[in-house]
Amino acid sequence: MSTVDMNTGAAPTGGAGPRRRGSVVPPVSGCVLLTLVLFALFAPFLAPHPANAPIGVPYAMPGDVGVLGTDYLGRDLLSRILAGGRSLVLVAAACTFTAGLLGTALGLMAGYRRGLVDAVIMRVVDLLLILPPLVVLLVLTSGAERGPRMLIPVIMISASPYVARVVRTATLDVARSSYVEAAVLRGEKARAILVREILPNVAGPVLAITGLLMIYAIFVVASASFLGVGIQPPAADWSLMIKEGMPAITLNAWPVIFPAACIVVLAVAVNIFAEGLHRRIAGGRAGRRGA
Amino acid sequence: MGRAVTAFLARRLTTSVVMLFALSVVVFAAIEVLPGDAAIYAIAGQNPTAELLEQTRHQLGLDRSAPERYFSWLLGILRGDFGQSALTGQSVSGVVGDRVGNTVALGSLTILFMIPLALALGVFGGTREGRRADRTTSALILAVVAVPEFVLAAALTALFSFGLHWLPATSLFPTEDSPLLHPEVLVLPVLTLVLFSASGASRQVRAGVADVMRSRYVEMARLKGLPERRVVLRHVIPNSIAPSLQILASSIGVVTGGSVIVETVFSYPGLGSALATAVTTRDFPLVEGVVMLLATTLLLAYTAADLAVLLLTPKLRTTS
Amino acid sequence: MSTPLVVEGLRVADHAGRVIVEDVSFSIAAGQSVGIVGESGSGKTTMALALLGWARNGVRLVAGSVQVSGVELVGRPEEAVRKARGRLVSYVPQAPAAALNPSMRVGRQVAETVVGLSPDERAERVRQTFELVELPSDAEFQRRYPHELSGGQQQRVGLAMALVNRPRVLVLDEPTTGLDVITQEAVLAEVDRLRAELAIAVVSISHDLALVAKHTERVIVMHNGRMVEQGDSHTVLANPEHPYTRSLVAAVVDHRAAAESRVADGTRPESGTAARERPPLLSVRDLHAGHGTRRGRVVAAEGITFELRAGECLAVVGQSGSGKTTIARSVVGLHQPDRGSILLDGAPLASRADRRSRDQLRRVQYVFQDPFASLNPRRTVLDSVVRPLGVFKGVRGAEAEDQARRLLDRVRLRPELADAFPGELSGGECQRVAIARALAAAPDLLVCDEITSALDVSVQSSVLDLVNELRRDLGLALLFISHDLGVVSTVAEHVLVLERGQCREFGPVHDVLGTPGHEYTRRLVAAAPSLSAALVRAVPAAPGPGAADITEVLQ
Repeated sequence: MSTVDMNTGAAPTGGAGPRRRGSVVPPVSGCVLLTLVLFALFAPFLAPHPANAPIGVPYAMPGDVGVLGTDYLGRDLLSRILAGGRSLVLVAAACTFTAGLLGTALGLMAGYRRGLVDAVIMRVVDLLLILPPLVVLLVLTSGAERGPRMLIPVIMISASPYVARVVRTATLDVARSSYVEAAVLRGEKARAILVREILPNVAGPVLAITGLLMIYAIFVVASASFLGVGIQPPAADWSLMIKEGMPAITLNAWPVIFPAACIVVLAVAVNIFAEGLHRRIAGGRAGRRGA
Repeated sequence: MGRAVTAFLARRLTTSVVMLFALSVVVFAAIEVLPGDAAIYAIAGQNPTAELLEQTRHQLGLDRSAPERYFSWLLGILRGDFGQSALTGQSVSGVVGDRVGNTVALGSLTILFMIPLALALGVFGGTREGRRADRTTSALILAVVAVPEFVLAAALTALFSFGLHWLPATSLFPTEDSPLLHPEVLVLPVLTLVLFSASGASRQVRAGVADVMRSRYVEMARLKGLPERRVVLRHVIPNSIAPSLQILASSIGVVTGGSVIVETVFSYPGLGSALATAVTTRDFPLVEGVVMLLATTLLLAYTAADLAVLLLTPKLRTTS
Repeated sequence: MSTPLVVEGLRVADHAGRVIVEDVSFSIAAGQSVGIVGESGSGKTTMALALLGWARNGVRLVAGSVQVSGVELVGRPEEAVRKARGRLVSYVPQAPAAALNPSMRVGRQVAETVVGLSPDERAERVRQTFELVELPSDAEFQRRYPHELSGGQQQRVGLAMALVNRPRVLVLDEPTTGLDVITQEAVLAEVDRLRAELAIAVVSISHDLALVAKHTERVIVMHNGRMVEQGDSHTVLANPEHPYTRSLVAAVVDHRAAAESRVADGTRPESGTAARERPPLLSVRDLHAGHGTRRGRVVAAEGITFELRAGECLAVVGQSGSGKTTIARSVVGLHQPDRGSILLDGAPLASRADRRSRDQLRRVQYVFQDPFASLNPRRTVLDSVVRPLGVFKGVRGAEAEDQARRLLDRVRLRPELADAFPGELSGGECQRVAIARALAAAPDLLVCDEITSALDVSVQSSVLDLVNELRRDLGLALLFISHDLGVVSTVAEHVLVLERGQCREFGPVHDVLGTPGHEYTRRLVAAAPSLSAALVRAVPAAPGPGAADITEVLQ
């Protein structure tokens, strides 16, 4: 489940060669991503039909009824596709934000305070990392209410350990550096040191891991909805559409193929963007030091 | 060397036991203490009578205090009794026993194909970092790795079942049979899992290999005039194998998580689909039992992988 | 036999077209030794690698020719060049620890280099080569992994690997930078012996003029990728002609020369009599400190006692691991000693910096070893200096910026750099900022931890001049940590020689370094490279085959 490899934080490093390429990728993929997100948010207004109203026979082939055909209840596939990205994108963005914030805070504390605070935080993190993220998600949702709002805290808990670990490593590194020691020797307060000296210098790793977090959030939100613990029917949602279309896939695969293609495009765009971001940060650091 | 290994195993097994114990608290708390009455209504229906409510409460053990319930559950586990499914009344060990073989078959077949594939792709890309061949394979792998398993599974099913009519879309076979007797039902689940886990692992193997390729000792091996083949075989691969092992071990976790999805997609009768069903039906004893079993298996797998790393890395092996 | 190495018109550039090495030509005769000197960025490592027909990623051998025993290495197919590497010309890298395969036994790493011998002959050859470089040649030693060897042994394995095919040319790239002086001297003496014994042509890349003067017959001075001067080592270094060489030679700090001149003109006698009467500014009494590691405690200081008066400079010298940095960090409060006391003006200092008063913190300032790591990369230079002004003196706003600019001017930093970020500065400039930052606190004592070890020679000498000047003008006391006897002798009056946490000798610099009393100090002084000593000792040879080669090639 977590091929979204937040385990190392340092996902595939870019080559030495494609540095020039790497600098083009983030802006371009960023624009693609932004377009996709805007599309997901505003496309529902373009829908020709209400997303939840039957318009014809179920399982109509593309072109027979509506442009893309109908789903198992005879609802317009095109309208549902246009509406089906919004909650995924919104929930994933909220998860990225909250998990990033919590993970960064925990990582900073663990890395700077060390000692007991570090030990406690890291043991909890280790504990959450034993199980695959999706299983953690299932455990946390099994007793709770279901729905997109519940997903946000649940994913915040299951994803922040990965962020915390990366941020902690970066913080440990920065905290050992001479400029932080110089601040200690000025008698500066811990808060001032964290804000002035450490935070600006772990911003790179935080940004890089946030990219991975975006991938992870889309992944988990989509999978959770598919498993029935995320976005709930009758909402129009790409994952749910796949789930609903699977039983009749040998009859008509289009209700599955269209939403699947949407998720693929979104996921690949996020991935390329995150990798470009990561490479740029890694490359930028190396370049700066070499100069 | 023997001492280092024994010490390592002793340390790791102790921490594993402690972790499992802590995990049991967390799992129990998350499932049974935090939520409200969702479970009761799930079983008793939306508008239950007071009597039915009370009965369900008792049936779920909710009339006892949380610590009391926890300790009786824990003692049960230690005796090998995971309790009964809240839904079917079947013993959890029974449900697990029926299905564990199927999941093991699925998982081991996946790993059997995944490891060589991930290593081959990783070494191929890592030794050609930045060249056209590497960029092409990397892009393809990125496209696969980005996609959630269920989407991948859906796409493969659309292709092989709907488009080509080669394979069944669901993995149905007689419960008493081993899935190995029905290879056609295994193809799509295994293919999905292999593609997914191998693409992720190969990216990390590639990064590790590329790192070693940039090292000073590989440059030195070339400056000694060794042929490129020997440089890769003797200098690059041995030094990237240990980190790769850890990556492959963590992909056991990936496969485990993936099996939940893939078994659900294909209605494959394994532990993963049992877990997913148990969660949607709020069958807490079954969820807890399966989760603890998974955690134990994974901790053992990670320990085994770290042990292999220890044995394969001279520096770790010789300095205890 | 053909000339072992002939280089003509060599030019190396990166893919962006920036030239790294330009128009280099020279040649070497068998058994001859050539030193290539230059500061960081002079292109000397790129050139060393080019001598094996090798260019790192992103770099290309553009033009010219490198011929080893008549075999051309530039512009030939990789396979042809590969066959020459390790056989005709071999390479000993800068950091042996990183250049040895960590998961291959050292015997095998040497053996796999051997070409064209039967397995028995090969084993015999490896054994002989280990003996040649004075390593144990038994099977047990050969079965070790690199991490089980000391730094000196690792470098010897590097040498063995380079020599096992008995090449005609040996390229040494700063082969002793990571080693302590005593090991360094031993390894270089070894190379000299092997060169004579096997009649190998040796090219040594180095930044250390003293080593070049002592161990090479000819020298090539590189600057910005070009050869600016070449010739007989002693002639060039004793009477440099090119302005750049002259500045390099002038920048060398030499413990012997300094000790002698000081004895001769008898400067700074004040530290002797009147000064002794004053109460000490800093006194360290019976300091014990160490580091807890997994394998137990490593001692870094054992019963160290010394006093330092206002305006004085005490140097603590020792090799890496001797505990000198730990002592400095204990004084400033970054390391907690096990026992002993540290007093400032007679008042005990808390062992941790965060328990000391603002004023105590202000009076003792620390300058760190790594100039790049000592400044916050996300703050401008001005910011870094303004901060302590605010913290220690409550000076803020425009007034603080004004004072900071004056301080930057005081350490001779170009004013336009005030708004730069540390990443845009050179090592020497960063170190100046760090000094300005320390001065902002108006301290009484400056603790300098190896502040020049990361700097090039010419930059080092200007930073040392600055330190001396500040001392004189501001009456600062200095606790000066260094491994370099030359540096120590130019700044300090007193020196404390440290070995494994213990004080071996303590006294005035010229006494201790001039006439060492302790056995360890004697070894340290003998091994420390000294340009003046090397130039005095060696009698410049009459123009030999080497000089002839040069003229030949240049014409």
